[in-house]
Amino acid sequence: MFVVLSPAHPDPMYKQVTDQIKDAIASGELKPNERLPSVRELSEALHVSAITIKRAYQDLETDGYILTRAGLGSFVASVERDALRERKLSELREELRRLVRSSARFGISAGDIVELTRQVEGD
Amino acid sequence: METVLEATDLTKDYEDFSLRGVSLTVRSGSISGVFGPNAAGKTTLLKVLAAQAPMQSGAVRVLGQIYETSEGDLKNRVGYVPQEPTFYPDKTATWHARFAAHYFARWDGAGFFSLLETFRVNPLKKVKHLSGGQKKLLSLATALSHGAELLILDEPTAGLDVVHRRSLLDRLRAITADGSRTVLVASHITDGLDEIAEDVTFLHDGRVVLHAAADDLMTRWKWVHYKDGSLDRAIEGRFATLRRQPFGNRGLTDDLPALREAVAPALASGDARIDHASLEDILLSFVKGA
Amino acid sequence: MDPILRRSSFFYVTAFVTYTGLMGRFMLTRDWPAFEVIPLFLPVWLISGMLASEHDERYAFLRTLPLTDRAVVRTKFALILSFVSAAWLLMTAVALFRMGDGVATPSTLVYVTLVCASALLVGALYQIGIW
Repeated sequence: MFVVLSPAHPDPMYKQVTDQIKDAIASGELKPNERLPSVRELSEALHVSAITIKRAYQDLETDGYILTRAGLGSFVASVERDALRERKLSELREELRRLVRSSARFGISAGDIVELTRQVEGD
Repeated sequence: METVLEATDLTKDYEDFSLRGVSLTVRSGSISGVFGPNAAGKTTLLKVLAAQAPMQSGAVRVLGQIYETSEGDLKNRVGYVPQEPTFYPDKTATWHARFAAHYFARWDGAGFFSLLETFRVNPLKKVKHLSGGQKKLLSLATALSHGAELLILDEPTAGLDVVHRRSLLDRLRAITADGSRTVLVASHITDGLDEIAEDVTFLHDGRVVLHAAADDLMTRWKWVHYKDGSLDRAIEGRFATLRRQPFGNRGLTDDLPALREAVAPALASGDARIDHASLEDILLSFVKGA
Repeated sequence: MDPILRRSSFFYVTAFVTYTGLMGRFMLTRDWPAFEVIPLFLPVWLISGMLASEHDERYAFLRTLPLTDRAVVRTKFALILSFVSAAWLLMTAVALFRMGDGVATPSTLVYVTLVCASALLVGALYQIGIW
């Protein structure tokens, strides 16, 4: 697993962790029922406080990506690809809403963004 | 741009170490930081620059003059806060103010007492009853109350609580805002002064290892985070610092343009990311060596 | 008045007054070879006055003031000189007075002067040592 935390990143640390773990799950890098590193392990490896990791894991559990068994650790939940897709779509909806709004200030329409998306896909 | 302070080739032998060929310039109106590990020579350097200790060889020009001929004038125009403030222990801040007022040409008594109030230092308490942080604040108030154009501060945030530290940083920014004053600060980088320093000097083992504008450093130095194995050894060898960690390695470089081509594939596939480096990261790379 | 002078002179004046009070009285009233022993206390009094004054002296603080080292040293030496001079004047006056009843002789004056000169030297060296 490849996790990069950046203090300069606009998202708070715990969200960077959850996002990257979600990515790893979606890409198959983390398999269902696979054991995640312990809170202590990850916090030491990434040089962030255990509280940050704990929060990240809690969020992941609330969203159904992982399951925590007291004493045993945290495991990737066996989520179906469709469910993952649905969840990601609703997250994307939020992000797009923000993107559309801020782009409008620059005179960029939703249509422009769609066109841009096609171009990027082609890259 | 005018320089208010120019040190050339300073040398001074001290107990455990020496300053060797230290040169630096401080731009007018700037906040300049001297950073480095303990015993790098920061305090000794500042003492020499503020005429608190003699140097063995080299030259120091302050505000266009030298201490040998204009000590009185310069000490009026330069405010110094030592790392360990010394005052007459049985006397009060008020007594010290009267003492200082006798010598400083532009002593601002009202300003001094108003600063003490902001800093919450009781002017009627004997200095020996003040805490270390309060003595520091008293020293600061003194340096700020005699119309100094150049302030030389040795670890000003050490011993201060969070609130006072923040207010000090804000104050330093405020007094240099109109360009009429210059601040030279020595610090351990984690004290928050790296946030406000515009020019940075790294001192290590008595030598200047880096002297550059902070902006320039932030632009040039970058971390390359990458998945183990996605960059080959040749590239890894070119990093100033390399850290192998469980969830991704990272390399520090100040020459990303030269490495960009080699790193491009990993970047494109998401196996690598570029990130900013903090002043602390950059300093550590010099201290540890690689 | 110069704050350095003001602070330090307190100790020197105290030393002088106690010297005068104690030793001066002995020199005035005792017949016992007062002038052989008592002047020797002068350097002791001087050093203890200096010790008291320098104990709390804060040269680091003075160095932050627009004050040359030379000016500080001048002030300190002036104090030592004043102390010794005043003591010399006092002892000479008392010696002259006691020449009347034979306790003091002209050589006493020389002796007193020598002691004061050495006290001055000791004091100056001590001051330089501190500084």
